[in-house]
Amino acid sequence: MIEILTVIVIILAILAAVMLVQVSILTAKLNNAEQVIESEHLVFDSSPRRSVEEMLSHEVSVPVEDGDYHGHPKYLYIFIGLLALFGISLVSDIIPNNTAVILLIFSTALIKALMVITRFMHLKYEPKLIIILVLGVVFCLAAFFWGIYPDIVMKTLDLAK
Amino acid sequence: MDAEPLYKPTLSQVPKGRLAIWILVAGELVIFGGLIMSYLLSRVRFPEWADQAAHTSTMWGAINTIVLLTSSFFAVKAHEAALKKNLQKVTLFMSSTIACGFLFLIVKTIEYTNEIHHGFTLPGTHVAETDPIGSTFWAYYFLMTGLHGLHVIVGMTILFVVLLKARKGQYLHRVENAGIYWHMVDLVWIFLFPLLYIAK
Repeated sequence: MIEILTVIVIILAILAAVMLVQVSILTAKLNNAEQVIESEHLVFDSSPRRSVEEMLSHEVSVPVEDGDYHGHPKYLYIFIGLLALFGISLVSDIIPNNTAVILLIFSTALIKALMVITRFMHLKYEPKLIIILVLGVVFCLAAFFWGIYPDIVMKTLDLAK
Repeated sequence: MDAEPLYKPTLSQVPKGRLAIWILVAGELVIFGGLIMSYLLSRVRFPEWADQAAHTSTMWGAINTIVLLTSSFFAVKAHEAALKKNLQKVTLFMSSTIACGFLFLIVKTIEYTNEIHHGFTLPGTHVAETDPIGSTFWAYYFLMTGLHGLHVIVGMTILFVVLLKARKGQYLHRVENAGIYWHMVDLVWIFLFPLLYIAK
């Protein structure tokens, strides 16, 4: 029970810290935006009236659905790398130490997962908030695992009850 | 191996379709991650599950891993072709991805048939009566691989719907979004394979 409460408190503290950071970043951005608007307003007042065409041709920052902002790694090399790692995990049985085998299998799986998520899914090119979203999921899963670990693994189970 | 990004976008510059697919992927990771964590905890709690895991076919699992990795490669090549507006290649690579999905399901069907024939089914059957703890392994096995199989079917449907428009040059940006979902399906299998087939 204490372990679960500790994990919950840690999660809440981290969430609060992340929110504080985000609020401070947003406040700074809003201040900058206000300054830009003020300066543009002054220029607009002193400039002659613009036509509709001119205003429409003005560049604005709008997401473009088919916009490609990320780079393209050599996908064939990544595919070959994935197959090589898969091969390593398949022949891991030759190692006599069982713990070493388990470590090797799961470390290759982790590297493969990272290769897929960063290169094939292009996560490394996405904004930080999307990366935080995915990392948040991983963090919650880890908290879930270690939070209930003592209740599942360390207690005796009587199936007859 | 890496390529430089054209620019680092802010969240507001990310196309809404792509943003939505990332939120969906995060949700899916919670579902599969929760299942995988529960399985891991039970596996540590019941070391005797190793006897049951020894009955899963590493060969069929390995074939399916190669099939899914190849399909992911095709999906990303389809996205690359879509950016170059090469509709012929988009159609070819997306069709190949869907074909790989079919192949995965066929192999999975063969595997399920073999296991059920050998009496490895969900709890409540004759295996459960003789080995109640061991049979729970098979409950996890069928739940995780079955849910994953369901996602493969959903992914194939999404790819097919996107392909219908993309081959005419319409909504080409959706090729990448469908691809991200497909890679997520591959990502889940990357963890299911060692958990259920190799760690024995």
